[in-house]
Amino acid sequence: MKKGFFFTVTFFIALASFAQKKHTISGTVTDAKTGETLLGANIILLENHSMGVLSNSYGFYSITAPENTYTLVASYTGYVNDTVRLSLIKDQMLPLALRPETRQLEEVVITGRRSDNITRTLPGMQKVSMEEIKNVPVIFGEKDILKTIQLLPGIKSAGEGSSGFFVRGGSADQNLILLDEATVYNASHLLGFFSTFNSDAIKDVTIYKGDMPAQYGGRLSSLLDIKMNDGNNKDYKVSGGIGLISSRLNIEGPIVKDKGSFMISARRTYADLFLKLSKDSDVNKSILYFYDINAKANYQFGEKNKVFLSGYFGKDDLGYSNQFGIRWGNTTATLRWNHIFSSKLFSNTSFIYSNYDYNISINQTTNNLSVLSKIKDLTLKEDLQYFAGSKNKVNFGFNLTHHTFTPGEFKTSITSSYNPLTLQDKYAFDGALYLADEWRVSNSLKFNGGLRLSAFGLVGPGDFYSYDNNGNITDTAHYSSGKIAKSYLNLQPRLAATYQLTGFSSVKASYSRNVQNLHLLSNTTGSNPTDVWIPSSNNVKPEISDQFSTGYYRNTVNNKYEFSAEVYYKILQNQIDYKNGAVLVANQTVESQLVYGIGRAYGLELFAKKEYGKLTGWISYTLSRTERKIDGINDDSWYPANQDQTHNVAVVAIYSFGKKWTISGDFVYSTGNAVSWPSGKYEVNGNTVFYYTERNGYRMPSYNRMDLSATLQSKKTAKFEGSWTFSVYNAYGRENPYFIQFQDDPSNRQKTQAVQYSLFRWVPSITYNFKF
Amino acid sequence: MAQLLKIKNLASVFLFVCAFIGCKKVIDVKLKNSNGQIVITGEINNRPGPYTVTISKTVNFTSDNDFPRVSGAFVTIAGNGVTDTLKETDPGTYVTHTVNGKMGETYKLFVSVEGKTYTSISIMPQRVRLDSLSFLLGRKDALYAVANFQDPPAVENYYQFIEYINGQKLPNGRGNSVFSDRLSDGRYISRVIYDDSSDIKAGTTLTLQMNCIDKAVYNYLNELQQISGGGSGFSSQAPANPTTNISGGALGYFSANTVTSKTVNIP
Repeated sequence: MKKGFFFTVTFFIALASFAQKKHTISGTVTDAKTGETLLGANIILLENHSMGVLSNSYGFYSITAPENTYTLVASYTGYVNDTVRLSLIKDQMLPLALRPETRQLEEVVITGRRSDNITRTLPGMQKVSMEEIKNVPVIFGEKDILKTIQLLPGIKSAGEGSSGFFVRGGSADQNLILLDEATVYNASHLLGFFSTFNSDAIKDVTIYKGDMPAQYGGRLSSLLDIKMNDGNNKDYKVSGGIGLISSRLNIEGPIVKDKGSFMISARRTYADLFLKLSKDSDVNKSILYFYDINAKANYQFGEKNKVFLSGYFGKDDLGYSNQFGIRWGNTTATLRWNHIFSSKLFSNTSFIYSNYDYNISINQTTNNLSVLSKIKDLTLKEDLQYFAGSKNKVNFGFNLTHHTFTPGEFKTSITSSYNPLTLQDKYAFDGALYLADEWRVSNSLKFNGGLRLSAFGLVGPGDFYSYDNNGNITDTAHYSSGKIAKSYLNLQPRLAATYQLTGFSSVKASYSRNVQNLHLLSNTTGSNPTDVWIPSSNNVKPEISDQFSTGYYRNTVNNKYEFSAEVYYKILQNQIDYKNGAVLVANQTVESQLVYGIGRAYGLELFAKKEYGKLTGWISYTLSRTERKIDGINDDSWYPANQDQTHNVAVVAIYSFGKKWTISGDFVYSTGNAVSWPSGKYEVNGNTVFYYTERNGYRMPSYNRMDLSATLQSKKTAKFEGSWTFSVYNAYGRENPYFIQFQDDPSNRQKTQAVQYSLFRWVPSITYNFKF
Repeated sequence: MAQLLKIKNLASVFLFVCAFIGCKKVIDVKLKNSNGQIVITGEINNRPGPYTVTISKTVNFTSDNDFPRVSGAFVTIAGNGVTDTLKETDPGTYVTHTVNGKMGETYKLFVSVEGKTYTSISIMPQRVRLDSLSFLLGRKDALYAVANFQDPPAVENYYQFIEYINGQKLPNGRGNSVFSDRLSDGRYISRVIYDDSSDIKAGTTLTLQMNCIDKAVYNYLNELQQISGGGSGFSSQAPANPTTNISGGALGYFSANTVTSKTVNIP
């Protein structure tokens, strides 16, 4: 009977299309309960599936169709579909408010809904829902976006306790992390044990593994796009959690009901309170804390304008007695203005301020030293989306950033063993123009083609050095303020195609070029707060990556199970490594310490997910290789990059027992990353020294770990919800290798041995979460 | 300064806060074998001779720490107007008898062994005297030695420190460090020697020796120290053989340096 109805309607539409008069339905999709805009909601016209769009990052959608009556269905994971019958005889604004679903335990057959992973035009893109992030156990009981995405295929952890990650063989600085469009330079607290993102304040997390939309650029390997909640514009809500290590509080509510709202979310650790209990005077004077605050306010002026102001302030403070202290933090502030020019043209203008700095102070008898280093960005962005007709969505716009780098200001006292030193500040302009079109060629074929033109200029005032092969300065060029010392222009094509084989399967292919003009200099592979960012210059060329990927995607008929298999191949140019014994700290001529080369990375990513039911979760497997060939290293031949790990497996399972209990667990396994180990030993001045042959010719032992967590909903009424979460990190306490040290055997000086150090064994935690 | 800012120092300071630290254990690793490589170490200094050059070879990791000495090499050191052919007094140990170590002079080492030749040049810097040896009290009554001296301004100075407890060097390569005046030119230096100081106890005699070395020797010893820290994983640098100042493909180094030292009895 449904088939007959379908047929009849199609017949009438075919007749009606001869009339050729088209109109546009547009509006914003929101959560009916809180007023939060919904990004990527699926809006289709049942009568013609090809007339379907996804709402944009601000929840805006626009569909153009010939004059007729339609059934519009709006859907979004976790929400009940909204169905509207409408008669399209002129352009109309149709705001859509979706009601959140209560636990989806049964199969729900949704008419005409396709799963996003099949239809999305960009391969290598993954979304993690906040529900999933809240349920995946992470160390210290903290919900952590950065740790959870490391459970997806193609994304690898930079080590125990680190928030750094590697995407498709890229290095830790090749990931663009945006929080409400502001760049976050150091996304970790406390040397990497926690990330800077408080999941209470976050609405959406999307990761693009290399193929990013043309409006983004500046890093080679990935884009992690994080959007903050706008804030409930109907009711005041307070939620939070109290844990062993840290606590959080979230307050949101309307400024004017249904028109504007605000949200403030704050979090702080109190590990330092435990330190104060110590009798040791060095320990009880020590400091160990971090805090962060996410704040946002938005207001709707009339139907066509909405203004947002959001900010993030985070600080870490570590201090040992009064001898040593390090403080670092990110500050970002974004002012955005959404303007709906017409039912087809949407604009977003953003002004963004971002600052990352660290401050080290050392007090040691007469050796007093303080170090300050920072990077400051000011950005202007204009993004326009033109929903042209029913087959094309055009994105175009520009962005311009001014960077100021303060690599280091070293202040010393008169009795200090060190001279004061101020490294020269650096300034750069980083701009781009882009144009992209999502073209629905037919019901089954979609193209996404874009071009990004980036222009980078290193400007004065300053001295710019040239070096010879031995690192000696051969030339010093001086440029005055605003004069361009070096500029780079790069064209970055972005092409992708999706071909739908059936309603539940598709194949995709893509090619994209990315360019990176900011480089992180770090002596280690993971990231440290004291790593230095430098701009491209007359010595350092922009890094370039070309990535080809293709994949097959398939869901089961009811979209209950999702599968994908993706293959990628990436070529990297102008990759940076360091000379032997490179001096990266407090070095005005740090560019003389760098060596350059190429890289390549390729792999297979398999992913299977169960979307709904009592048991949900996913399995991911990555088989990959990433290599480098750098002048002067390993006799100029290819060697595996430090972050190369052949196999990576992650399994996540979340199970709901009735209404009160949820248990979840994850299991990870990976083969070891590439390391340089000795192949012999000798003696110098009476001490054993190890002899190295090739670079990264060995592998660390493999790593595996299981984490478990159980959440009990202790109280749930209309006004108050409370729950307890118990979790244990590394449930079977495996001593996973953190680093390996080679040394003389202390019990037998005639022999040498390898000693493995592990960081964490069992780490239990308890958190109480509340909401009212 | 780089030593102070090294992240591993930070991590180890705060590991005591982590309540559930894992442990360390000896593991079995399959390391490759390699052919024996020539290792040459030699020093000529401003104290009266004789001076020594040793030639040995590398062994496989699993072998005993019996590093075979290489006999029958032809070794000369030329400098200060003299070319001295060294005599082999013990297997692999070659000793001078005519050349004298003098500040400011250039010394050339020449070795011919097993059909290959190796050369090196080192320039002995002007001596900087160690003024005094003091102590810094650290955590849990630990004592760290502090070297006090004036760095000559407008000259690139490189220093090597060696600690002796009761006349003996510290085991496992401890008590050795290097320092460059890149960030400290012309300053009065109080250099804290951070090393496992559990050996500096009451009732012992501590001798701190300060050598003034040239730039190439400083680079070698600095890189040597970095790989002696051991460690491999994401939190450390990729190790490699230290850049030697000996050409021809040998491991090791040749140094012309000045020597000054101070001894203190710890009450």
